[in-house]
Amino acid sequence: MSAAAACPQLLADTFLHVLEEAAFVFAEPTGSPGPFGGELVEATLAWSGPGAAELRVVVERGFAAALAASLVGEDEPDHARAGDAVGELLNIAAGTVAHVLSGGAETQLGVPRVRALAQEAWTAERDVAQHAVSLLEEHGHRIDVTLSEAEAGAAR
Amino acid sequence: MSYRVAIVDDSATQRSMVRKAIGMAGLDVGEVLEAANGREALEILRRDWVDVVFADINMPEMTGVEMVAHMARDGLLASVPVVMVSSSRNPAEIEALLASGVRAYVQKPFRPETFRDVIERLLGPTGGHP
Repeated sequence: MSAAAACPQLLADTFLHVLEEAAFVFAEPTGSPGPFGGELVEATLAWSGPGAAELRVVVERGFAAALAASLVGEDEPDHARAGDAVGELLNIAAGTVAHVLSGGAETQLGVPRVRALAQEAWTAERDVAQHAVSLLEEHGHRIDVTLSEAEAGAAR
Repeated sequence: MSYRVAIVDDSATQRSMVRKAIGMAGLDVGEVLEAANGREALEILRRDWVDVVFADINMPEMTGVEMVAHMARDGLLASVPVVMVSSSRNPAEIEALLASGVRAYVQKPFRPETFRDVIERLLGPTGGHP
């Protein structure tokens, strides 16, 4: 199986593992995700080197706040760190994805960039991504992940 | 005797995660200092002694690698062990880090026992700043 063909599975497996190990969040891939609700948080990270690409993860802002709490073992959602939390989860996952897609060659990971996003804007961006997967957390929160090959040398 | 630890990462979430993991590892940590990049860390380390530094690699202003290079050239800081905490899985990069003076590498996502093992290996089971 080519790297491109295996990409959706790689994205799903990596993020499922990171969510479980780092945040104790359990999810599964879904081919028919329902719509997002409310404002979204998007984190983006690119890397250079063989297999250079840009990875994105999108979740609802409320879920991002819950993730921020889960990552540090707290119960109350942490809205102040919602964006940072999503960026950090992306950072953790990117290490694995970049390593696999580069065939084990050295890559240079960038720093996560986080922004708020409206649903309509995300729908349009997701549609043009080279690879996209949706995960559904056990309480029904949707997590979208996309990967697009970057221009050669792009990282930050 | 309690350990004094510095955590260096541009992500406040990640600093909290490391702090939590160290706490869950059952280690006697007396004080935890935090910095958002290598430059801030150097300022703190020149003021306050720590037993070990946990640092990310990719940070704005000064990376973890640059910070380690500065510490190696500093007579006071050269002996402070630095542990890199990162998501990189590249063996060559990890090997290069260890060859540059980094004393250990912790891969994300991590577990508390990993920090216990690393600290006990570097400082001994009862090590720490008096």
